[in-house]
Amino acid sequence: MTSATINPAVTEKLPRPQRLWGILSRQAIDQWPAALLAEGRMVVAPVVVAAQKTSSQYQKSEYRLLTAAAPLATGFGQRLPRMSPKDAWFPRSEPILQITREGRDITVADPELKFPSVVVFGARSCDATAPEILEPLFGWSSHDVFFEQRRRQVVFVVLACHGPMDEACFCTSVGVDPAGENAGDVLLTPLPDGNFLAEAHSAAGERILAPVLRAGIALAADVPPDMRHYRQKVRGCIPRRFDPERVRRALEENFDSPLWQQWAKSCLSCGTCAFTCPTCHCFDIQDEMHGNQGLRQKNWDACTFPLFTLHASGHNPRPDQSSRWRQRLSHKFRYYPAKFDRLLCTGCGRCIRNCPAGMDLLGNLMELDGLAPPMLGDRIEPEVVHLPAPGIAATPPAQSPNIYRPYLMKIAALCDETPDVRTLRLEFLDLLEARAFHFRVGQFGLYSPLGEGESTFCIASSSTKAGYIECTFRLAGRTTRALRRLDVGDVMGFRGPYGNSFPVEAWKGRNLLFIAGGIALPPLRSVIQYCLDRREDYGNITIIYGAKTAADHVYKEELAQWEARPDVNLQLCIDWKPNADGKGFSQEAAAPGWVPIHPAAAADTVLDPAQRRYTALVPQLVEALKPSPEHSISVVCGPPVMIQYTLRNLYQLGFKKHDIFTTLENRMKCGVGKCGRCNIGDTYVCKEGPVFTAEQVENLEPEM
Amino acid sequence: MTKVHLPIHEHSNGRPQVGLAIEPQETGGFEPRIIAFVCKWCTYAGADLAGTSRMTYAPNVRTIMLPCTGRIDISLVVRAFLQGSDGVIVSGCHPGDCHYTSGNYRARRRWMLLRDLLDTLGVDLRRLDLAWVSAAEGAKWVKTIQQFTDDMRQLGPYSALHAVAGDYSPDLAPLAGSDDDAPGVEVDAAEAGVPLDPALAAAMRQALEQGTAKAILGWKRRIVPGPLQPTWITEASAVGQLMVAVHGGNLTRLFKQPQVRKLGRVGLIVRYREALALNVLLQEKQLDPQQTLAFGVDGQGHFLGVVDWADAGFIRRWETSTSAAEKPSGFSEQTWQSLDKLMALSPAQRWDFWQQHFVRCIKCYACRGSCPMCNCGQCFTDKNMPQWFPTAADGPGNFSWHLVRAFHLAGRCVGCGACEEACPAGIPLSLLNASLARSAWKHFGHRAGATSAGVPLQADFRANDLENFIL
Repeated sequence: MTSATINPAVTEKLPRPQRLWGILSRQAIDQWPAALLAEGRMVVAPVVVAAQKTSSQYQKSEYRLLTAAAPLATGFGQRLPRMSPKDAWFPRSEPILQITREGRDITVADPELKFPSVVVFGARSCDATAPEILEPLFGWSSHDVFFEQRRRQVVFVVLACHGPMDEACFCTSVGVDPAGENAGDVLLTPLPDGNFLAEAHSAAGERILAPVLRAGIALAADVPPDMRHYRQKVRGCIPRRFDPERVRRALEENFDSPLWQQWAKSCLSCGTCAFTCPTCHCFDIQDEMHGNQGLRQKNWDACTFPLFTLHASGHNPRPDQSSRWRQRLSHKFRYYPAKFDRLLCTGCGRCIRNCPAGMDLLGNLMELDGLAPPMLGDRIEPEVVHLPAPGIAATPPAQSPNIYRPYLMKIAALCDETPDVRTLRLEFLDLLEARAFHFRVGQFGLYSPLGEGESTFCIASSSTKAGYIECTFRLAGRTTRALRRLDVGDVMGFRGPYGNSFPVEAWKGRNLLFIAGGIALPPLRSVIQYCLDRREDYGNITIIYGAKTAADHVYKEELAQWEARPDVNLQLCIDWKPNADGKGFSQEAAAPGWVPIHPAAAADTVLDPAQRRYTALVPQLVEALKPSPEHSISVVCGPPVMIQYTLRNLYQLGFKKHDIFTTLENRMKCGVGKCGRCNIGDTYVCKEGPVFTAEQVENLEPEM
Repeated sequence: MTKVHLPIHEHSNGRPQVGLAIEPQETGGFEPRIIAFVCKWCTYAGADLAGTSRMTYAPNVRTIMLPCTGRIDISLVVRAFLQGSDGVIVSGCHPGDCHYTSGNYRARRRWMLLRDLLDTLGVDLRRLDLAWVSAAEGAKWVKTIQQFTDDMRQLGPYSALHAVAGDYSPDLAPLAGSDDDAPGVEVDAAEAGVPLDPALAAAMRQALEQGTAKAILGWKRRIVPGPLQPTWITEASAVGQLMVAVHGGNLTRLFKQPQVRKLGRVGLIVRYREALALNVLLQEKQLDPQQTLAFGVDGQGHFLGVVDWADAGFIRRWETSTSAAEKPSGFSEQTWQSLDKLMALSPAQRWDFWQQHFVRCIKCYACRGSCPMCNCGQCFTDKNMPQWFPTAADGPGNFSWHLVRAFHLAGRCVGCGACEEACPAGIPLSLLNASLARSAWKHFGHRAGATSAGVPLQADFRANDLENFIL
């Protein structure tokens, strides 16, 4: 990608010779919004707000809805409004589901998918370019009908800039044209005589421009004036401050740079930069109930908030402001371009102007530009790592275009695995939906006690078990607490299946080694069940499972069944008992019958083949068991530290990185690649994962 | 599966509303829904007595028992209104009778402040009642309920608040807000800051060289012109990078950052607003005075000397040398005037005033981030077990956020205005803060930041605190 091709216009543009054009007087422009309002459209335009003390030649303005009583765009031609008009295509809070409860009966319905036609009048190119940039994101593999329908209804009447508003403007650096040659639907360019050249760029633009030109308030002219020279000059007035391609390289090279600490010093973890940005699109999903009725809402969210990526376990892959600031810049200038071939930035400069802490996004980008490695012709690309097959596209329930609409499921059974871990068995309420539903082992979904939010868990049962799915979760917050209040027969929501899956077909004939710790057995249980149901397809099956205590083992009944099977080698372990003084661990068996494996001599320990229960940490048990890497696949899931040491031991035993699989569980809200929080570098865990090989994980950014 | 639509009511503002949880019963006339939060030891026992004595009273009241009035968080009251109640009663033991010795004294202070805040917000105070009812006063409980229910019947449903509570509409409604009286100090790049006074620079270098400070908090210029950026340095050679901001922010908010806490003893540039904030932080034991080295500067950035925290009168240095922009109270003269203007309006007009502003809120939490006093480990809005308030930037979400944020600063806000300067939506947050500061001063003689000694306002009480609003 070269910087010249960044942010191409993607909407239906008219070829230049056929464009409708005319000359409008200022008076005609002032009267235009009233005419648009009379057509029943909403008009959003900059309006001058209380005059402020400023050295700028422009008045301060804000985007406001014009009304028939006040149809004047008084901020037309004034300063760039402090907030972007993003609400027009991505409202700060949008209902995505209506929920009605009557006793134990729950019904859900899509909100009405009818949106007003909105004209953003007098926007600058930077604002008019923003929704185009978001189109691929909201449309990749599944379509967010809310964004797409709203976006279709937005018409931009763009006012060309004749220079920068202030020092924070940098549109030319990100390939946005301040002269607006391709921006929006109608372009207004001020002419030296006080009139404006009006050109329609799209069919929608023609529809609104034609009546104005016909209304007789247009001034006549035979040929459109040649604006090339003028526009070139305007572009030259806004210096290019950095090269996005060099910035992209520098972001790659400087992931671990101490500069991030330096730059993020003053960040106060608010969401001002993201919420005033026209392209920031990350969102949260929340339920609000009022008695028996309520809504599921999509609310703006920001990567600068500490809660954004916080896991239920308390772990946070972006634990400090520096990693969050790095995410913000990398998302805009590295990940988004890698995914969608355009920058997630229009150079409007709002994040720089509005930051209450004076964070210096532009300064940081310029510094990154200087840090970029020199361009030495074609760079040698690292070997491309092929990810497992992409997930099945989100399939919303029949007839609904709403990808956030859940299936309604009835709880068929529930089982308490430990005091705070519970398994729910869910069956479809609608038999047609049940018949159409398919998933593959390893995929996940979003489970919702309707009215209390959604949580992401893997599907813990196998696709070979017909008629139901199961999930296993630990009490962690509002949603899981509400899930625990549900009883057999209650109705809840489920969205999915999402993500990729374990390549169980490719594993046929191989020996399988499953290694899990604590609450991480559920993600493996689906694939274990699958392989046991197709037992003849696979070689030896070994399952190593550890938890803090025997009481913390989940699926106790199923563990007993696996243990009883002659064709499964199940090995259980529990943690060392801490010493009474809290320092270090005792060397004794943590419970009767749980044979200790001495950590220092794990590799030399000879195990009794009849013994199945040990006091040991999972990596130590792996070391002592010495499973053979021959013809073997291993699947590892557990807390980060367990994975780290288990992998080390597996490598020592001779396991190959591409034969080791794991499943990652990042915080997710949408599950379909839109909400913007589960990414590790430019890899979206919800789309390209959650199943990865150890080799792929090693190639991800160290942000887990 | 049948498709069900929520009953959407068109209200006067033309925005769709979701039906509320508690719908008034249609039994001929209007029957109000009332929630009573009562103390377990006195009022609940009193209500029980009324029941066992076969006294009858209006069935409109749903009673919720809590251990003590001191335990009744304002969140409960706000949520009751948001969920559709028309009136709320809070009731507990008479002063001096608290089972826990002083819970009701603390509650009394809290309700005084809350009433003033609600009044500023234009909430109808007739809909919030407080009463002391002992275990022996079944008759008083009956009378209180009857009177309050009759009053609510007269007042009718609380539709103004319920309209906001059910307002989940997206369609560009936020852009319909008004900017009248919006504050927003536009900081001109040219006058955003001044270079260090040479005497100040010398003192800082000395502190770093001698190790009396491990780091110094100040500001630096950005590459892009505009507001200065708060930062810190650890090397004496870097002192030259620092500047003094003339406007904006409050440097003490950096103490909320774990990295700053780890630096050890830090020096910082202290303007009047930082001095006031430091006093509150010291009073609340959030800072150890031994860990702070304060380089005082006046409104123009002139060095006032290193401040001795042991000297209780240190704050007077600024009160004599402060610039016109920073009057002794912390709040600007303009804020006080705007508050007077606001309070001269009727409650209904004040309600409209605030709703016009709150509708623009984007929930970016810049107000929280920039405030040195918003230093809870976990903010109430980030808690979800239970989740008291909606996190969305909609009617109920914004109303509850602004109400509770302001209330949590009662007696603590020093009026530095950092929240208002930070707000990208231009909401006049200082008016809410000033209204509470005025209550604290008027009723309890408390001025936040005046001293680092003593007990914080809401941790303290007097047996003779004002209670003219309690039945």
